[in-house]
Parts: sequence; C-alpha cells; structure tokens
Amino acid sequence: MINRRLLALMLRPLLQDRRRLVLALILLLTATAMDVLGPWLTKHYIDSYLVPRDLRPEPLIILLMLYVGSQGLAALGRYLQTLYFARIALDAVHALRRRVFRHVMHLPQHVHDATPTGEMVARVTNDTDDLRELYVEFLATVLQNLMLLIGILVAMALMDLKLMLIAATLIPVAAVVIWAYQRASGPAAMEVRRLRAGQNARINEAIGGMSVLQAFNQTERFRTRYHDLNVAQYHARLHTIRISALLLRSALDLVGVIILAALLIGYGADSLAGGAEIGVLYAFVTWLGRVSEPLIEITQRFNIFQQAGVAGTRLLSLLDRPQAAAGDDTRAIRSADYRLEALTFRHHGAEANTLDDVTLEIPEGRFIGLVGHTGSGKSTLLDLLGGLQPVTIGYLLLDGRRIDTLAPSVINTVMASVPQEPFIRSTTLRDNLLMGIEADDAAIARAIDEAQLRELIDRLPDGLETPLGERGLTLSTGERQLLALARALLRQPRILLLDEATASVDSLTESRLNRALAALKGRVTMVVVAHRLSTIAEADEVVVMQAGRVIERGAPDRLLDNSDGAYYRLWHQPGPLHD
Amino acid sequence: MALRRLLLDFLATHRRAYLLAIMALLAVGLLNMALPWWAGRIIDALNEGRIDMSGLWRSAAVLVAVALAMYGLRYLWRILLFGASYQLGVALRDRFYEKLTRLDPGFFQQRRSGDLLARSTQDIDAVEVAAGEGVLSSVDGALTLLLVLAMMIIVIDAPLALIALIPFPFMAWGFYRVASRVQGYFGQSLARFSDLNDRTQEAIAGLRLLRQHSLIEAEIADFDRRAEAHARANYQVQRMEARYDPVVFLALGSATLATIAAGSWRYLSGAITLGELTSFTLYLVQLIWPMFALGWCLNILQRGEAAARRLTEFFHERETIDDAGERSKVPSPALHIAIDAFTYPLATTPALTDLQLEIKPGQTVGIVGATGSGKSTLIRLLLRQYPLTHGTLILGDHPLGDYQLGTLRSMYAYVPQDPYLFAATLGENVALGVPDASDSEIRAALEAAAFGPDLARLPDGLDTRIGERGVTLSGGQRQRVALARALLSPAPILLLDDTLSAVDQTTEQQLLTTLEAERERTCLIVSHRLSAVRHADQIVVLDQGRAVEQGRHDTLLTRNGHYARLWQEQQIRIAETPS
Repeated sequence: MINRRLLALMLRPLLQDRRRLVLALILLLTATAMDVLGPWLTKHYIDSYLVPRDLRPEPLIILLMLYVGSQGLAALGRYLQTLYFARIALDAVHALRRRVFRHVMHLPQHVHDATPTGEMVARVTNDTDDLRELYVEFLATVLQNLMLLIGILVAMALMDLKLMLIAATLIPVAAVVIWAYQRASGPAAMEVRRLRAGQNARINEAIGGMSVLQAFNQTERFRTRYHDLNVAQYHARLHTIRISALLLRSALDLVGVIILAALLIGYGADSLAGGAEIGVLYAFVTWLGRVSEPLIEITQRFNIFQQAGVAGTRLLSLLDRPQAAAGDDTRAIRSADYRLEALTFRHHGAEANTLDDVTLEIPEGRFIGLVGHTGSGKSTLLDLLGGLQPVTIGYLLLDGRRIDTLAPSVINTVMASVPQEPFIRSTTLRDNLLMGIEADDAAIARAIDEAQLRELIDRLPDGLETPLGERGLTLSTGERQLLALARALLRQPRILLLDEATASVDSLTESRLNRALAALKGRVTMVVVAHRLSTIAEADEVVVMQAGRVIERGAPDRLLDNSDGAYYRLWHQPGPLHD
Repeated sequence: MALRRLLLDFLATHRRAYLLAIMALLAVGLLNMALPWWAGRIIDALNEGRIDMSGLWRSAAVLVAVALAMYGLRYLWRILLFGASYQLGVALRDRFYEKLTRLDPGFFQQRRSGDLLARSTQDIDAVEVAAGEGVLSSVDGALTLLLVLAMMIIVIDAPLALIALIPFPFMAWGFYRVASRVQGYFGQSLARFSDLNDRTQEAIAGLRLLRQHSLIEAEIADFDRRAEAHARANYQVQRMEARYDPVVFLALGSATLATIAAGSWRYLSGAITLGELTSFTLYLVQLIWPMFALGWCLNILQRGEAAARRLTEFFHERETIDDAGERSKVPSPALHIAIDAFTYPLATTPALTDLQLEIKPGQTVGIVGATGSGKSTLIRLLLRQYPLTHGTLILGDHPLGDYQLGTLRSMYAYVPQDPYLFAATLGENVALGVPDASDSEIRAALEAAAFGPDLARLPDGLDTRIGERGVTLSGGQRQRVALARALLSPAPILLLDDTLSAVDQTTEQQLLTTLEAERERTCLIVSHRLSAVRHADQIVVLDQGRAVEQGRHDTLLTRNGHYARLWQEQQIRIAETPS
C-alpha cells in the first residue's frame, strides 16, 4: 500500500522549509537529553552523597541547580518543539489542500459529472484532514515519544548494560502487542465508522423526508431500521473496546510490571553478589514508569497511519487525473456566430456517440429553437456550444476560431447560459445576480424586471440583500429559474444559451418572459432548448434532434405545416390534450 | 440539571453494571497500590540482605500475579462501564428518531437540517461520554487519589507526603485551565472546518456556474483564505494542547525534587528506608491521573450538561398533531371539506378561506390557481400535516382527528411538489409504501409513471442507487419516480401536488392517460397548468386562498370568469399550433 509516490506526496510538503525542520529536530534532541538527565542526577545523588552520607553543601547545590536547570530546559524545549512541529504540519497540510482544490477546480467537466459532489468534497477536505492528523500526531506524538524511548534506553545502557537489556525486552514485546492491536483494531474501527456514517445518513433522510415517511405510513419501519443500525453500532463499538482492553493500556501495563519484576531479579542477583548501587535501581524504576506511556501513545496513533495511507492513495489517483485543457487565444470575439462541421461527441467512456455528424451554422443574432425527446442530445449540444465539453471529432467554431483554442475568459464575457436547474450560491440575492461583475442599480433593476423577478424581490423583507441558500431563503425551482435568467440578462450577453430554462415557471410569467426574450431577437445569438412550443414560437429557426442527429430544420411555422415532419409529430401526439 | 435527569433513570436501570464496574475499579486501585509497596519491600530486603535468590524469585512472582489480576479486572470494568454508556447512546438515538417521526413539516421547515443532525450525533455523544468517561474520571480519579494519599501518608511517611504533594494542586488547576481553553479553540477549529467544507461543497456543486462566470481563480483564492483560517484555528488547538506537557512536567519535576529533599531528610533521620523512597516515587507518578481526571471530569460534565439541555429541549418540542383518534376503519373514502379559515403558524394572513368541497369516492378533482394561491395547503390539511383550527374535514362520516394517524395515512398516496428521494436504490424508493412489492409490480408502476425510457437508461435498472452518493435525477424524473411510488401504493385517495409541472408535453399526456385508468381511486390534482385538470369531475379555482370558481371545465368556460381567462392565456400557446 505504501509506495514511493505515496511517500513523496506525504513527505514533500513537510520538507518545504528544511531550516525550520532541522531547528525543530535540534530542539527535540536537546529536550529529550535534558529530560533523561533528571533520573541520572538523582541516581548520582543517592549513590554518591545520600548513601555515603556525604552532605557537603557545594556539590549538592551544584547538583540541585543542574537538576532544576535541566528539567526547566526540558519542559521549555518540549513545549517549543511541539509548537514548531505543529506549525510545520499545518503548513504542510495547507499546501497540500490548496494543491488538491486547485486541481479539482481544473478537472474536466465530465469527471465532475460522473462523480457525486459529496465524494469530491471528501477528497478536498476529509482526506487532507486525515493527512493533517497524520502530520500533527506523527510529528508531535510519535516522533517525540520515539525519541524519548531511545533517550531512555541510551541512558540506561550507559548506566548498566545488563539491566538495560532486561528493560529493552519491553520493545519487542510491545512491538508484538502493537502489531496484534493493529491487526485487530483496524477493521473494527473501520466498521464503527461505516455504521456511524450509516446512522448519519438515516438521520439526514429522516429530517429531509419525514413528511413522505409519514404520508406513506412508514415511520415505524424506518424507526426499526434505525434501531437495528444503532444496535449493530453498539456491538461494533463494544468490540473495539474489547480489543483495546485486551491489547492496549492493560497489556502494556502488564508487560511493564513483568519487566519491573525482571529488573528486581537482575538487580537482586548483582546485589547478592555484592556491588550493586541502589541509585541505579531508583533511576531504572523512574525511567520504566515513563516508557509505557510513549508506547501506548504510539500504538494508539497507528490507526492514523493506516487511514492516512488510504487517504493519500485516493488523493494520488485524483491528482493523477489530467486537468481540463483551456485555450489561450485571448483576442476578443468580433462576431458571435457559430459554425459546426461534422461535429461528433461521445461522452467519456460511453459506447455510443451522443452527437453524431452535426453540421449547423448559427449567424450572429439568430434565435435557434432546439427540440427533441429526452436523450436526443439537446443539452449536450448546449454544453459544447458553451465550451464546457471538448469536441470528439469535427469542428466547432466560434467567431471563426476553434472554441477549444479560446481562453475561457473570452468566451465568458460574451456568453450567458441558464440551465434547467440553476445553481444558487449561499450569498445574498444581489451577489447571486452579479456573480463577480459590476453593474449599477439601474442595470440590475432592468434585468430584474425583464426576468419577471420583481414580484419575488418585493415580497422579501431585505430585498436584494436577502441571503439565499442553505442558511437563507430557499427558492422554488421556478424562482431559481427566474433568478438565473436575470443573472444572464444582467451580463448583456451576445450569446444566450437556455436549457428548458422556464420549465417550472407558471404560465402567465412564462408568456411574459417569452416576450422579453423575443425582444432580444436580432441582437443576441440565442440557442433555446424547449419542451413547450410557446417558448420557441418566435424562433428564427427550429432544429429537431433525434438520437444525436439533426433530423429537421426550418422556420417553426413552416415545420408545423408539414404534417409528415418530425416537428409536427412532436406536438401532435394523441392524448387528452388534443382529443 | 438536565444531564442529571437524563442520567439518573439510566443509572438506576443499569445499577448492576455500574456497581460491578466500580468494584472492579476499586480492586484495581488497591492492587495498584500494593505493587510499589511490594517492590519497595523487595528492595529493602535486598539491601538488608534478608532475602536469598529463591525468595527473590517468589517475591517477583507475586508481583507478576498481582499484575495479571489487574489485567483481568481492567478488562472487566472497561467492558461493563463503556458497554453501559453505549447502551445509553442506543436508547437516546432511538428516542431521538422516534421524536422525529412525530413532528410536523412546520417543525422541519424552521430547523436547519445540519443543526438537527448535530444534536443527534454530537449531543448524544456528549451525554454518552458523561455516562462513560465522566463516571470513570470522577469515580476512578477520586478513588486513586484517596488510595495514593492513604498509602503515602499512612503507610510510608506523612511529613514526606505533605511536602511532596505541594505541587499537585497546581497541576490540577493547570489541567483544568488548559482543558477548558482547548475546548474553546477546538470548537472554533470545528466551525472553521465546517465552513471550509460547506464552501467546497458549494464550489464543486456549482462548478459549471463558476466556470461560465470566470470565477474559478476567485474561488480558489477564497478557498485559500478559509483553509488558512482553519489552519490558524487548528494551530491554536495544538498550542493549547501542548501546554499539558509542561504542566505535568514541571509539577512532577518539582514534586520529585521535593520528594528527594524531604526523603533525604527522613532517610537520614531513619524514618524511612531507601526502598520506601523508591515506592514513594512510584506513587508520585500515579497522582498524575487523578489530577488530570479532575479537570477532565469537569469538562465532560459541562459539555454533557449543555448537550443534555439541548436534547431535552428537543424531546419536549411541541407536537402539533396528536395521535389521539381511536378509529381504525374508514367506512368510505368520501371527503367533505368545509374550511372557514386556515392560517399557517407564524403567518398573519390566512392561506385558505371559505372553501366548501364535496368529493365522492372515485371522483377526480382539480385544484388550480397561480403560485401562492393556497393549492398545496388543501392537500397538507387533508394529510393532517397542520391542524385545521376553523372548519371541519370529514372523511367517511368522521372528522380526520377521530382516526388513528396510521389509519388516516393509509388512505392516501401522496406525491409532493418537491419529491424527496431516499439514498437507496430506485426500486426501494418506488416500493416505499409497499416494501414487499415484486420487481414486476415496481416496473409496472414506473412504466405507468412514464419512467420506462429513463429506467432503460439507468446503469443498474431498479438496483441503481439514487439520491446522495448515487445517480442524480432531474426534477422531472424525481417527480415521476414519486408518482410511481404513489401509483404502487394501494391507498384509495391519490394526492398530486403539481406533479406534472416539470415534464414535457408528451409525457404530460401520457401521465394523464395513466390517471384516467386509475378511475376507481379518488384523485386530487393540484396544478398550475389547466391542461392537467381539464377532464376532472370538479375543478376548484383558487385565488389568494379563496375559491373563486368551482365546477366542470365546460361550465367554467361559459362563465367567462377567472378560469376562462387562465384557459385563454394557456390556450394561446396551444392555438399557435395551427392544428
């Protein structure tokens, strides 16, 4: 699972500022040395002064000052190195997060269309947060404790090699315990997290869909289902408790006592043979008391390694995806006309073409109505015209230039589009209209009137300043469509792309909107996908699509006269409406 | 107070588990005291030459035996204590869900879903922690403190203990200070993280919009700022947490110094042995836990109290719809509607006034009117989502309130305006009201709801996962799935709330044919398109909450009133089709 690329991804951000890293390591080494010195001094005091009852003040005062100084320095050093490492870790994760987010924002549209939003968000925030935990915990806890462990062992070895070897058996034993805990707790913890996510999803749907559950009399069934999930999670958590109770603190404490017993025997053997110093035992006992805590800390952090490994692998595969290509032709658009030549488009990974051999010319100022059954390729064509998807075969020229060579900003200044389900940002209504451009109040008022949004705004207590979205006002689909239309009109575009943009608007408003759009005729190139005849009654030309091909074109009136034509059939199906 | 009320009942029912856990804790504490004491005795015996090698082995074996007993007891109390507290979690989660099932749409509209979700997770967790870790830290902390003090003062040496203990109150105070500030910063860091998460979610969901408005770089810069804020908040947490270390370190260091100084004096005056001094040092380390537990416990209880208050408030949320009816049989699905006035809670003007309507079993009734005219309100009242204060609603000779809620709800198959789909497979979503429906029945319902062609395009057919983390359906598709859900249900009354608004003309006709075939069911169709209700047995025209006209299509047309005008308006668009 851990390979070189993964290591590089995780380590490189840490190595950005080497000087700071080296400084932090020096601090860590110094603090550990000072820390370990404490029991050493005590041992020296007991064996050289206390037991022989040598109580001259000068050496004792020096000893005292050394003790106070070393311990004070150790405390300060430990604190400072933690801060240093925390800073390094957080800067590293910040850098990584920026990189991932930038990459995600520049991924091709088809990647986003095929990936649920929640999953993509999880990559940017949760996965990088897993790495943050790794950095913080690893640098702050694991490194520090590992160093302490080594320091203690070195000090022990210097003092008494035989006793140190006894104490050092703690390491392999602890390694086995850690390994066993690791093996058992990883899957168990994963199961708990999985069930927890399930619980959250159930609560979420209960909050969102309770009225449906009530109306369909399903509250009892869903309640039981939630209860079963709770019980399953209870058992899973109890399992993790069992594992940690068997293998974590209790086990390491047990091992600690066994080693204490071994030390006593080892010391006793020396002492019975004569020549052992009691101070040595005192120092060892003190050190031993501090060894099990680092081991426990390290053991508990192992899950984080695992999690971060998984998160890092996911991030790698995300970063491996190529970004969308963007054109760099920044010359402004002179004429807002399109030419499509034998245009073919196939969705990424699809087996069939969505658009097949489409040839079409759209002069500036032309109003084109695009009709056809669901799945005939209307919306896809609109995406291509908007430059959101790349052409597979053939040409799509805007202003005589291939659209993929144009810089996005060039396209965006002349074009506005309104999708069927417009996106509303959680900011004020005004910001939602402006979307980064500047406009005076008169222009805003005009766009609002044209898009029939006035009535809604007058109803709102704070008017244009009303916050929208998750934490603000929720708009109905129809209101969202009007807002998106106003947003598009405000930009005074030369190209306007509408995708069933008024489908959820009531009929009176819709007919007013159609009049507003008809007024743009001749000035603005318009491509309008519609499923209601009235929307495109004023179009210069109607294009009928079927299975990705253009099967009929012409002025709407002429097409309606042709009772053999596809357009005619589209509106004259038998049904209660026309009986 | 709230926490105590929530916990007391629970503690009483799980008295046995708690008592056993506390006894195990006590036993562990006692054994834990015996360990250093025994180790000290061995050292003294060695120093005084009172013990030989085999005696040493025996003494060490006792040490190990005690450690093994502790291992078993530690396992026991963990399972007992945490097992019990996790059961509290299960009980509270069940209760939470049950409460949700009894609340009305008005409640859900006023609450942010994130807030409710947080209560079901974080708040229940906090209470659970109070019942587990809270009990542990308070009981075990106090127990350990008392035992260690007893050993130090009574068994070893009172003057030594009194001097060595001076730093410990400072340690406890330091812990508490650090813990409460960590808590504060931790909350801030969580808030920053959720901020970052929300914004990322919005950026990715609205990526098309951002691309089309050249806002990608601005969004990346904004992300940067938020990521930076999160990193800063996180650094504060790390900085605060890092302070634990010097607190322990300095307090323990000074206590050790005091122990050695006072211990030297007591040793030289013959009050204690060197073995006892070593034991004393071991006890000293054990005092860290009670000091930490004190601060920890206060924190846990504070958080638990706040969480319990919020939970209690939620559990006592007013239920506007009481399930007090007793009837479990509906004699006939005839509806008699006599509404004098209905005003939504918190609203000032009534949504419906003076509506009289008689619906015979099997009749189709159309409710038409502009947005905001009160069409959906009628359906909500029939479902008893809101209580009707002025007027009567009679179903089969009895007021709605006389029936058990379950009985009443089993009468309706309801398609809401903005249909909610659960994060499950398509098949499960359709079979919501009839969980044991066969695949062919589900298919038939989808077919009737004009979802057949869409179904053919879904990757896994009925098993396709929809909703969050699955395939995203368009507004029109969602409505048709919801319609299939209602068609599959055997309930005698169909309630359609503007179900045909987001479908195209062809599909609308298909659906009307389907409804035509549902002749034996009573059908209430709310619509803003008149074509959807043209063939209804009765049509009610609502304008600002009043029924301005009522009758059949033909009669209403001849009356030349509101309906005729609306019809004219919508006909223009159809008349443009010279058929």
